[in-house]
Amino acid sequence: MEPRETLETAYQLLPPPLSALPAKYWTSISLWLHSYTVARTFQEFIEAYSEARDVEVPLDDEALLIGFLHDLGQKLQLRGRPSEEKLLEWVRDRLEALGFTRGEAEELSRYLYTNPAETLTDPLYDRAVWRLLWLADRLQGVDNPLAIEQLLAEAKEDLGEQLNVVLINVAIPQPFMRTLISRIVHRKLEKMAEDGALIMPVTTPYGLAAITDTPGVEVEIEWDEVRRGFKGDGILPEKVEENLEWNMKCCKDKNCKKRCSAKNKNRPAECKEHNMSPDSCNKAVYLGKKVSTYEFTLIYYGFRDRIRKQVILPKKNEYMFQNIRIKGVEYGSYGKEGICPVCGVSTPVGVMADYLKFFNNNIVTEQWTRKVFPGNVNTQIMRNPNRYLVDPLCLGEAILRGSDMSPVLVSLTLRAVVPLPVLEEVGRLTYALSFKLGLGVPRHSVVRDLVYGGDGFGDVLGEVAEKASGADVPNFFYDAFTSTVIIPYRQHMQRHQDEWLRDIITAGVLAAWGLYPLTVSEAVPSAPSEALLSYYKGRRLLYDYQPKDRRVGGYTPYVAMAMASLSELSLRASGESLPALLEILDYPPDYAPLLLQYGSPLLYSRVESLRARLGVGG
Amino acid sequence: MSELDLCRYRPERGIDYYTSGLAGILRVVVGAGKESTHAYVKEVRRALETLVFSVWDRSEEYIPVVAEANIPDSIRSSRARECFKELLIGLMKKFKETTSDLPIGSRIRLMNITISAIAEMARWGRISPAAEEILSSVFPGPARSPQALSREQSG
Repeated sequence: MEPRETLETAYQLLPPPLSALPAKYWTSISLWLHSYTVARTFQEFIEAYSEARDVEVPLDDEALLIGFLHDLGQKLQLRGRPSEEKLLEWVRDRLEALGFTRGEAEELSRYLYTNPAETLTDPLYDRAVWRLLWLADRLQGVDNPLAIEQLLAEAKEDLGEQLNVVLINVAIPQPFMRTLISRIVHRKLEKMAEDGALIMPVTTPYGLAAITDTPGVEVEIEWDEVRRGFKGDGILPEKVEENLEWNMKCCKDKNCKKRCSAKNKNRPAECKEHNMSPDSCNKAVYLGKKVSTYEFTLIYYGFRDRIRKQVILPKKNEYMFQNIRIKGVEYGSYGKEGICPVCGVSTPVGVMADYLKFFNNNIVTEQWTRKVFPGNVNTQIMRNPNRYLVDPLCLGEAILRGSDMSPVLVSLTLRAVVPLPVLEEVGRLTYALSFKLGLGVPRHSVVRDLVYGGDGFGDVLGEVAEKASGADVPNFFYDAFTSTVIIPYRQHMQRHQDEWLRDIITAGVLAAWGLYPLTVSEAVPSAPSEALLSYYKGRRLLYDYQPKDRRVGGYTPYVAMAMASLSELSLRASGESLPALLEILDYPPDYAPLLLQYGSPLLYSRVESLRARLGVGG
Repeated sequence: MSELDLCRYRPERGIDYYTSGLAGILRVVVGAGKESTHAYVKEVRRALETLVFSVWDRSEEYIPVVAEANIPDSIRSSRARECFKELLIGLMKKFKETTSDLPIGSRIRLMNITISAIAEMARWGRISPAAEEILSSVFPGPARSPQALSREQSG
């Protein structure tokens, strides 16, 4: 089954906003994401398991559906209720629409009643198959990588072999560098699996864990792969690299330096064009010597015509990699070290902080100087390479963050264990949805189409799934080491009000599709959040309600839709001030149905119709 | 379940159940698409305002009286009038239950939101399946059947 079909099948069975219903009481994960994750994990397990064995296993699409449906009946609390028949009918209809025969649909919908992930018995397949489903399901319930070892020990007898867990971790504090390394490690692990190793990487908020039959797995990457960046064409944009080379040469030429000096009234245009500042010519430290910051950058991140010099990282970085070895890097200390003002590590190599402005115009140095000691700390930090040095990884972070990046990010932080391929798929999906919502304040017609409203939903779903599974590398990032998906999704907008509306409507739509907990902020969150939406504007969390809350979690689809309903309310009440619009978010989640009726009667009637059709709450 | 059971207060029903039901009835008796929201909700507004500003501390006693006094004259059918009254009782009881812990300012804002929600639903004809069920039991007949309403809504 193609990735596009997989997504379409999952959302056809549990469409938004019911996808947002919570699945667990210990962490905020949606029912859709839980079901999808179990389905995909089961698929991957079956594929890996059946390769070396002669056992009858479900086909690809059958495995997906068994995994997706495995406890839908239980989670929707349908067993023994009069509404049971409605869900059965819904699932059968959907399956028929997806191309299954009536008989197949009836056979598969049986898994709404029985959950072989719990019972481990079903006449259709061998116990080992159901043990794999059990494992896929139970993996979601562990909250640390070591607990996975326990599950594997329990599964040993049925599977006929002992699988192990190997932690593969990166604890560097630079989130975008982590996402880059994450992608490299992911591709390496995929390659190892293609070459015949049984290896299944799963992400946890505490690191990446590989389930494997070979103990002692180590991933080896090369620094040159870091230089290649996300798209393989260099971490530095081509134009920037050209500028750096020009500047580096200029630094070595006294006349050029003089010509480009800020004091020169007739400063040639080419200096400005290349963003050349002679001040930066000796503001980097490499092997105990002052070098130009431009040369320093090219030593570490030059891709095209790079300078062949040894890449040195601070000694402390060495201990931040677990079972990952980076070839082409030396860790060391050389005499006096500076402190990185960004991450705090002591480093023997680095650049002055002021230089980061080369990559990001938003960084501003405070010019004002205090009359008394210690003067202006900010200026000291930014312009004093003797005491403060930005270490190479923070420099890489500034390059990634400064090039081709929006200042505001939406991050999805998961606490449940998710296979690495699924984290990537969720990242692509989040990107595709935010792409569909457009650049400005999302239009109500678009928001309306993204919620199940009958047969027309299939077209929009197809469009989103197509984008999410496209071959081009879209603008999304995933950090396997913290289970985080990051989408750079908007620039600052002209009207403050539009920024609020865009952020909250986007978060509402994403949540309705089961993608939460979300953070909208200028930085990647350093710890996983459980709140539906953490927001960087304002003094407190805007909407700090947690979907895992047993009492009110069931209202999550309404809460998500109430947020999305601002697209209609802002049109209807266009004269209202922002606080008047946002007041629908001021009340507890159990008021959300009423607030949604107010925000958008249309969206409310759609949620209710969908619930009635599936028999949820009826 | 009799038609009045569908309209009566039951604690497990959310406040949106009563607002939907009231909007459904108002949508039938006033008609869709009126310019003024006041046309739909003047009685509901008066009832809720009376509850919040005048009888809050003795609501148990007064809610049935307030509901009885605020049934729109335009509802002619006795069955619909009775259902409207029961729904209004349900709305007031639920409103009291859910907002008793809120500060008075938030309560008043929520009261206004509740009234606007009913007006918007009635005006645009967005009726939930639960409200359709109430309507089909209160207004039997093809003209006001849920199917007819659905056709109007989709149009």
